[in-house]
Amino acid sequence: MEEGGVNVIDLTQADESFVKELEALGADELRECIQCGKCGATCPMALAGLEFFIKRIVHAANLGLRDILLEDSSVWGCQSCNRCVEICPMDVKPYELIQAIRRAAMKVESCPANTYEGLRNLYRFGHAVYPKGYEERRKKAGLPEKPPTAISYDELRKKYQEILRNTILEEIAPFPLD
Amino acid sequence: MDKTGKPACQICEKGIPPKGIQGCPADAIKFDDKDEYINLKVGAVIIATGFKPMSKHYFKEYSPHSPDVITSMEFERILSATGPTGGELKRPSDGTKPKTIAMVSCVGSRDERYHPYCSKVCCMYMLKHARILKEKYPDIKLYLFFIDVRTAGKDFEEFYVYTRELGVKVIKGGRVSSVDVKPNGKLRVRAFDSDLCAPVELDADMVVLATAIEPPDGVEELGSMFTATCGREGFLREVHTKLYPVETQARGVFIAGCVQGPKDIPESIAQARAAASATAALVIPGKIKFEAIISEVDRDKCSSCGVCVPLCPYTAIRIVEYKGKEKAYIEPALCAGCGVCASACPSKAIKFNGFTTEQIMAQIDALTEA
Ligand SMILES: Cc1cc2nc3c(=O)[nH]c(=O)nc-3n(C[C@H](O)[C@H](O)[C@H](O)COP(=O)(O)OP(=O)(O)OC[C@H]3O[C@@H](n4cnc5c(N)ncnc54)[C@H](O)[C@@H]3O)c2cc1C
Ligand code: SF4
Ligand code: SF4
Ligand code: SF4
Ligand code: SF4
Repeated sequence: MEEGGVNVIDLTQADESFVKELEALGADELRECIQCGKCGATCPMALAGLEFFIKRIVHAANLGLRDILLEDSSVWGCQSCNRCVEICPMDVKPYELIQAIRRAAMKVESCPANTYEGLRNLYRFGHAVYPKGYEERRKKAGLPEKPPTAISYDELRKKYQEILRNTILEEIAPFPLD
Repeated sequence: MDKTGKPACQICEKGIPPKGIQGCPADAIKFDDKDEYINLKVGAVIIATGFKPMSKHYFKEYSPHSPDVITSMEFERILSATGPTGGELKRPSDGTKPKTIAMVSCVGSRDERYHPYCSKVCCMYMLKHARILKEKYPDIKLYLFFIDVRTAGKDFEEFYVYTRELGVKVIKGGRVSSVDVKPNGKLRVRAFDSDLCAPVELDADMVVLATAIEPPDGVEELGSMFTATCGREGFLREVHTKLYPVETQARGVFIAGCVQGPKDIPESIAQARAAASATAALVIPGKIKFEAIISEVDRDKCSSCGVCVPLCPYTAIRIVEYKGKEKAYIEPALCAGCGVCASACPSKAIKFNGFTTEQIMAQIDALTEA
């Protein structure tokens, strides 16, 4: 990327082991993509104008462009709508690739700061999105202070955290799991 | 022996004595055979002189002076077990095994400066080369630069997808714009990748150019010997794309294979068989039916001026001796009934059957009577 102008992508830096890593992380149909573009025409990421939308991500992944995919934050903009999975004629399951790239990014701590925030919330409260002060607003609306989820049931939450501690989160979480 | 620079193995002659294998037991091979000219009289001809792969030297933007920039045809030889390297992958400059190879599509094809047509077979043979290499050397890095990938036909798209699965990298919208030799001997390839929406660069050890399928040298002269003509692109022309695909405008002259236009082996063979059948249908009965609407020379009227001879587009007119004089003679099997000679003959010696002067005058009279 550094040589020959800003936008030039240097294929010499491409890394086949990254393709293999992504395959192992769940994107095992990746190489069947023929770049037909069907996913790109339906993906909300593309419609929202993200630079690396799904079609481009699949191609970059196939080329083994590790640095580009880990530096760019587009994969975190995926809405998990699964439209791409349903529509892909080659059964590539592009959403599985998004997840695989996210997994690869987590391993090398290459994700936007707010993903950690979400992860911490998920561990602590069982909710990735945990807006502060929502108890008051719930009360005003006549709802119980806490929703009937893991937040309301300490026992369940502890069990759930125990399960999480037995996952790869134990190794990679950038916050204490206590 | 001359082509590969290696001595002939002579297994067919001497066998492999240590293994107890003898040379051809039927004594079917003439080892002292020499070139010779043979004159044959034939009833029909099939022209199947194939094609010429375009030379790399036209493409200055791809550093043709580098020995590591080669054409696909040369690469085909490198991959071949009977080729100059015995099938071992070596780069021409220093004999080392290339780690990264770039292949470039449409070189000289789909290009108004050279050939506007698509050469039809290169997309598939590029994939074939890539597949052979990847199966033999799984760690090799292969980048295929295409404008678009053309895989029309039975089993071809499957071949493409399988080749991709092997890890061959396909860059589309990416006819390479330049290949430069770097001081360290690497070849820097520049292209655009429309799937990445970005220009890309690659350092390769070898670059293979899929150069265009061209009409073979001298095809026009060869064709004119048989009064078969070439189309705009220089390939021999069929009479009708759908109805007479292997016939030329010259009766008894057929075409098959790449001399008619770029095509792969299955198509060439299908055409060859069609041409063979058409030839057989013409020759085997031992008799030919020809059209009634042809021209005839009244040799007693012919003044031997010879005007008609070069005018006939089908070379049907010859000057032959008649009653001790040279006179025009029209070979009825060749005459296509165009009428050119009849209208040109100053002595009115040529009768165009079905369209004689009397017949045409009568028609004009009938039309103008009212
Ligand atoms: C690099 C490359 C790879 C290819 N790979 C494949 C592949 O994998 N599969 C496939 O289906 N197709 C492939 N093709 C296409 C294939 O080569 C052609 O389809 C095929 O060769 C056409 O056959 P042909 O008989 O028409 O012509 P040719 O194979 O060119 O044969 C013509 C013959 O006529 C001879 N000749 C020429 N002039 C005269 C003359 N005046 N008198 C007597 N003889 C003459 C020539 O010496 C030659 O032997 C490839 C092409 C290229 C360039
Ligand atoms: S729809 Fe499937 S095959 Fe088409 S570009 Fe997307 S991932 Fe590739
Ligand atoms: S799941 Fe993600 S990548 Fe797939 S279409 Fe939806 S937003 Fe796009
Ligand atoms: S067959 Fe493919 S490489 Fe050859 S000219 Fe056509 S598009 Fe280009
Ligand atoms: S009619 Fe035409 S084809 Fe026949 S001999 Fe005369 S010029 Fe030739």
